[in-house]
Amino acid sequence: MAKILTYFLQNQARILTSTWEHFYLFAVSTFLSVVIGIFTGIFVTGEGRERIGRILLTITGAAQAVPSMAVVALVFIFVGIGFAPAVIALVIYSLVPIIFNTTSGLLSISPKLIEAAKGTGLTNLQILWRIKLPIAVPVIMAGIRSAATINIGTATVAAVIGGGGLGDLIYTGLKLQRTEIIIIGTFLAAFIAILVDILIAQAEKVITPKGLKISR
Amino acid sequence: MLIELKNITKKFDKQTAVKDLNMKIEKGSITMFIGPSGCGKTTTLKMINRLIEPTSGDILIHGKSVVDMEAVKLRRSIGYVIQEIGLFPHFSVYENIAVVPRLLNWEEKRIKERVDELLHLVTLDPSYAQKYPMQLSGGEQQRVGLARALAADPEILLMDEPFGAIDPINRLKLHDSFLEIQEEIKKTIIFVTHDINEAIKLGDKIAIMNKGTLVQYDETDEILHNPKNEFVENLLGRDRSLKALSLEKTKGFVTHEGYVITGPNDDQGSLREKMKKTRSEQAFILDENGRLLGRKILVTKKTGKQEMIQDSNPVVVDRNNNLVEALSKMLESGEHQLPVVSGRGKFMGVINLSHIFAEVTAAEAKNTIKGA
Amino acid sequence: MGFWEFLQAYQDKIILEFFRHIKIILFSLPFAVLLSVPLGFCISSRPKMAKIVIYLSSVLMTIPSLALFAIMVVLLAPMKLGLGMTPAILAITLYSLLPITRNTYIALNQVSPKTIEAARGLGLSSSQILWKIKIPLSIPVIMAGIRNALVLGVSVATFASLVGAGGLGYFIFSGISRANLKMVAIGAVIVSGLGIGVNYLMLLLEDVLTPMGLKNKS
Repeated sequence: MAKILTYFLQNQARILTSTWEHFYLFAVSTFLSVVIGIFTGIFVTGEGRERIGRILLTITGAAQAVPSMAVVALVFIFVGIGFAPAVIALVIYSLVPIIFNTTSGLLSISPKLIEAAKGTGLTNLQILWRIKLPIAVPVIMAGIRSAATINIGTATVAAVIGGGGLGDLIYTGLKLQRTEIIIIGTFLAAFIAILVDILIAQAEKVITPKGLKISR
Repeated sequence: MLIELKNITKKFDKQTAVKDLNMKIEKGSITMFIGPSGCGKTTTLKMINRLIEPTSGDILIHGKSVVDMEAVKLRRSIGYVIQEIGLFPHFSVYENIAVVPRLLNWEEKRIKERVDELLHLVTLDPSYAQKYPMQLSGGEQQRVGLARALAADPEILLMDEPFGAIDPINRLKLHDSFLEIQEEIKKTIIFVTHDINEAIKLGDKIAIMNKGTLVQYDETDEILHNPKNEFVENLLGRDRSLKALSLEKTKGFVTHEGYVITGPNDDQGSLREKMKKTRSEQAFILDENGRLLGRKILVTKKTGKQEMIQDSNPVVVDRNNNLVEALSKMLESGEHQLPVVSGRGKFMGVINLSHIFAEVTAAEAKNTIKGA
Repeated sequence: MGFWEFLQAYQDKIILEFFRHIKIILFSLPFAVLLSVPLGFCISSRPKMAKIVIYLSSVLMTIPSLALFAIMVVLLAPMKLGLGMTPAILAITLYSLLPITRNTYIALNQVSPKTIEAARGLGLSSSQILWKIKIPLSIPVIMAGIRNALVLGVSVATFASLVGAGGLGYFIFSGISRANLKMVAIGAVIVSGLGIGVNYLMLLLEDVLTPMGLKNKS
């Protein structure tokens, strides 16, 4: 315990930097994959493209079984080392659940409902914004939530290819067999992960339309 | 002529769904499309608001081709009702009804008034405005669907099997209030159904389709008495004369004799006098707005003494019930005289069993003459 | 050295680490199933407890796998078990808690009360209802949970080489530190194939175990 405290006090600056790097890596990559993923999901489920949507659904379904470290490794091969490769790896990996959920959420809306919206005189854009997306929100948010969990976990791994962050601390600890460093790194990484998860769960509640939460 | 279909043909790939269809639909009437599944009735309906584009031919509304109109604008000017699933689950009842007014940029105050007005029209309590579709029963959802379609006061209403998912008892209730509403709004309604009884009950005219062509298109009465061919006869079924009876609405047979009207607090003695004088067996209790509260029956006991019994939940006939429905209510309750009420519970008079029998005899005679 | 010569040179090592990877997962599986399935049964009729157990296991799930490994190393060090198979197995078992327990819970609760009432009405005893009705109807969902746990296991086991348990992670981590791209590529491709393959095989198994009447024939 004393060792932990001593290390913490002596290396405050480094710990703070690592924590910030960790969070930054997470935030940037999650933001990018949310934007890219939702756009992709919308695009492949547009009128006349449903077939592409279904194919992509199969691919992303299978790709969810690829280990995170494999993606990090492959990105390392093609892009190299540093912050950018780390972001790329995280984005690629977390795109999978977001595309999967957005696509399946949008595809699962009853065609009758869309027809009703069309027959009422909504334009395609209005149908997307006012009907399809709000109804798919719970599924899309679940995808974002698992993407965020994946990202915060993979962010630790990204230290291997120079992404920095709390993973750096943990690796250092493991290499030097210094328990106190491992504990600090682990604790902070787990803490951020849980915090992010709670925040997203709250956002999920707020953003889900009220009419979808009611059961008979 | 409000709507005119001219040589309409629709092909899906190589299959012809609708073949060279020509028909004219009059303003303010209910036209029922009926036929076996795949006969092209729904396709025809959807071509009117351009959810499906015809392969060839033209559709005119007020003499203007729909193809020349912007599809989205056209749809906003035509009400569209489908099975209950068509309500947007994430919108409240209010928001569902407000969809088109909002698209048309109405002021919120005007929208609110319109929603209140429509909820009243479809006989839903104003408190329903804040509920969500999942909290409503199937029948209530369908009423909201109708209100939504009527929101911007469209001249035309397209209805695609709107009551298909509703159980038979509630479907009958919806039919009655649908006719009641149509009496008020007088829209041009095109209604697709697979239920011949529904078609006969609601339709001013019926269009019978088979394999993409129009088999017969006529006044309901005409179709029942003069089916064009075997296909139509089979569709109508064997009990045609009974079905013909179902064309007649109760409201045409209401009489104002043989009963007494009383207030809830009127004197018993004078009431008994009045009933004896008019030889009435029942007295109907009305409130100050003319709504039926219950009835009093004069019963003669074995001892010869007469006694007054109060019945606060009498069997009633809706004025839009047809004679078949009125008859079956009489048979079930064992009464030969039933009170007739409006959709809002207002007392209109009574209907007598003898009058229904007279109509049956008349209809039989009519069929025999035509058959001869 | 070309890629094929490289593959040949490493052939034995690849086979060794591949089987070590599988060994780690297979050793964890019984622990995961024997812990999580009964736990799911246990909480299936206690909604309050279920909420707590599922919440705690979902918190466990959010802890980054590398961090969890590190915790294991620290916690097990006093017992001299900090390195090798033990931390790897323990970590995978903990991660499996959420998918299997949650799915067992959901599976048992999704059996319609009407079905159970009908079974009771026909005169089946409580244990007969469990074995003849509830379990067969629940198997597909429980199996899906086990599949998710196994796939996760493939991923988590990659880190086992960091605590000296070997596995395909060896190629990735050693390759990165030696800047040997071929090594990294071999590790990444094989471990990805393993993940997708395990997922696919388990889907097939799920299909076989699903009672005929529950299958969607569309």
